[in-house]
Amino acid sequence: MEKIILVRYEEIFLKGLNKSTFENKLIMNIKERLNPLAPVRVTRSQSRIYVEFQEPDVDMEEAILRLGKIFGIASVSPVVKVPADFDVIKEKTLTFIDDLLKRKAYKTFKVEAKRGDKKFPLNSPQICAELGAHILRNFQKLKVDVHNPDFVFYVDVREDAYLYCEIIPGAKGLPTGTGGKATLLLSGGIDSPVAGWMVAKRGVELEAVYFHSYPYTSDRARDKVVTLAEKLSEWCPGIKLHVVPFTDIQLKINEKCPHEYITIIMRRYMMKIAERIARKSGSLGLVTGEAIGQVASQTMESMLVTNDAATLPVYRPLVGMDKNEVIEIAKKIDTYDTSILPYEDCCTVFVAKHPVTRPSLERTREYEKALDEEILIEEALNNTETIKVS
Amino acid sequence: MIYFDNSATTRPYKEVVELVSRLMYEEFGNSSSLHNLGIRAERILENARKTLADTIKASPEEIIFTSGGTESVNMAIRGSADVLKRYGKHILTSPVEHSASLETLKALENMGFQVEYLKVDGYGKILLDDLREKLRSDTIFVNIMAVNNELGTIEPITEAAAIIRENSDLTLFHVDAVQAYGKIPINVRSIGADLMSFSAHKIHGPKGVGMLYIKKGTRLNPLITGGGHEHKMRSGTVNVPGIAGFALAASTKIGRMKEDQQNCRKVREKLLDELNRRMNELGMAIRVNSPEDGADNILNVSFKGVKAENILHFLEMHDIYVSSGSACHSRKDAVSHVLKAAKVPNEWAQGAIRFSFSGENTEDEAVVCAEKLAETMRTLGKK
Repeated sequence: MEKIILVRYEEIFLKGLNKSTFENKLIMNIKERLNPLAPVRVTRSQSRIYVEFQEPDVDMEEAILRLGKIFGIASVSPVVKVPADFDVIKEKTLTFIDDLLKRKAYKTFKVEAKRGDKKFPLNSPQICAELGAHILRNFQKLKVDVHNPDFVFYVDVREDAYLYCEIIPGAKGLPTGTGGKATLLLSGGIDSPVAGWMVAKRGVELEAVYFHSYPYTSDRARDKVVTLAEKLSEWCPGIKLHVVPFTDIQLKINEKCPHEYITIIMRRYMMKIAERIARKSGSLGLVTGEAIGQVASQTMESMLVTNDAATLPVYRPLVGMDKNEVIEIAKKIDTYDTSILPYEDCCTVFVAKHPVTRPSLERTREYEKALDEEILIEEALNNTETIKVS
Repeated sequence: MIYFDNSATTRPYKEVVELVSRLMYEEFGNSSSLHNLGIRAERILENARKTLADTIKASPEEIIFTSGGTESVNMAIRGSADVLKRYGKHILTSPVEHSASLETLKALENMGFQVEYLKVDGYGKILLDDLREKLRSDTIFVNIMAVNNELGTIEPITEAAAIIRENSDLTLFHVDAVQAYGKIPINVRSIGADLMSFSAHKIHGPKGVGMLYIKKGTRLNPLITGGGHEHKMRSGTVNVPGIAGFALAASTKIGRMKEDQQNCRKVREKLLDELNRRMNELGMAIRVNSPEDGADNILNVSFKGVKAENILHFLEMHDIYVSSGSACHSRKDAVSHVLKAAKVPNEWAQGAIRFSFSGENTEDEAVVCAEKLAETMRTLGKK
């Protein structure tokens, strides 16, 4: 009996001639994520992926957790692989269930069989019936319940037979690296990590940009963003985080522009700088955590003005979501607890008391002329620190 | 580096670090072990206990070692309340206590105790008449700190002890002496408190070590049960190296307390003079929140129209370290409960900075600090 993890994928099926590109990428990602744990052999057969460990003492729980964070996987099951011989299957079924009952206090079950190999002498209902009876005979305490069983015992008969009882949902989406690269504007808040995650889920690689206003915000705020980038990189590895010193720009905006426009102009500068970084890294778009109407700088009017500062497309995956929906995902991807740490920028200094909610693009552009844009941006980019997060 | 945050913690004396490090390696025995190694550790422990008891004029049996000030305070409050709950549920405390006390008392309130807060003056000093008035026959516990950690205010604990004693023999009086130890003379006999809490790391000792003075005859239930260490009052293998480090730090600090405090006073005055002069030049006002007769090592000053945390980070850029009287949370500005209790107006409380000195600080540092602060205010004040 070999311990193997069966990996299923869904959406890749739809990819027609590109299917193997997606599959190969997924296999590569699985290897990259699991190899540090233990050497693995990853094989593909009939639109499924099998992960086999080369060592006997592998932390399977950890392996399954890691697989749970790989985009492109629909579900996984730890399976036992046995030869497709019904006598062997019967024998191994008993071992499997014996082992299972040592860990779980299950009382009822049903059997579900799939026969992929039509040459196998028994058809699926026959396999179910025979195996069900065999189990009942050998485990007096178990009863069959086809409607609401404590566990389902699955048997897949292909070239070999696979026995399992768990189907663990995966992260879904598409394999990281199949969708190009995007640059995420990452703040310390709840929204932007979720926005990044949602784009990453579609197979997109991420870079992140954080605007740091030291000493108006403390270095703890920066550490918090690094932590958030680390959490995101568990889903899409190898994120580069660019920490842009933003204080001087904020001070200049504050000094030279009308007070109610400072926030929107600041947002435009963030876009401009993020775009320069994005173009240099080969990103095909910017990602923000904005949602319509959430704050003054996220009204449709404001977003029009912000958008005007960038030429790359700006992806806003949260645009139609309510805060609670965002929080739900933040909790699921484990960024929420970090996001709510109270090191957010404390500087009411740079926040207008009554920021404009319907800024005019013409006026914004006019006000911006008071700033030496090229010098300010150059200076910020020259002092940007890039951290490779892992 | 200019370190003006000595009330948060201090840098341990070099000799202390060396001693702790040496003992950790060479005298690693468990002080409860029956063999020779254990006995050696126990001797070190008991010597330290004697040294530390001497510094507050207590006897060694009256000293219990803990993991720090917070645990000592918890043990004093919870341990007493547990014993005395059948005599009454009324507890008095000053409202300017450290959160180690206030949060613990809040927990007791949820358990059915009645906690009443004493009135304080504009410097957070308790009003003795109010104490006299609020004491009742069922008052089981009174909690007052010796020196306030934010303002440096010295509380009239000796007078308070006398008033409490007059009222009832039942009432236990706990003094949080964490900020007072090594800064003002402490004599447990003349103060007359039943319980006093101390911490090592505020006086150049190691972190994670504290002690609780329990006056002979005072009944207290332990917080932590187990192997019965520390006369069954505090179980857990005893941190012998840390406690030995505490003893060395304490005897050193108390040996030089007078000179250190005189030095702190000079630095404090220099800083205040320089701040007054420079802020005056800028046409900006400051507010001194600390009392003139407070501890020499603490100076709390407010700057108007600026968030204290911003000032703190600006000074940090110049390698100058201070504390703010308020933490800026993302959307609400939490002003310190001490400044609130002392009725410092909100617009001042938001810009309150605490400077806290040690014997190692100099007047020159005060001059540099004032200069950088003025620079900061010139930048920040413009907004």
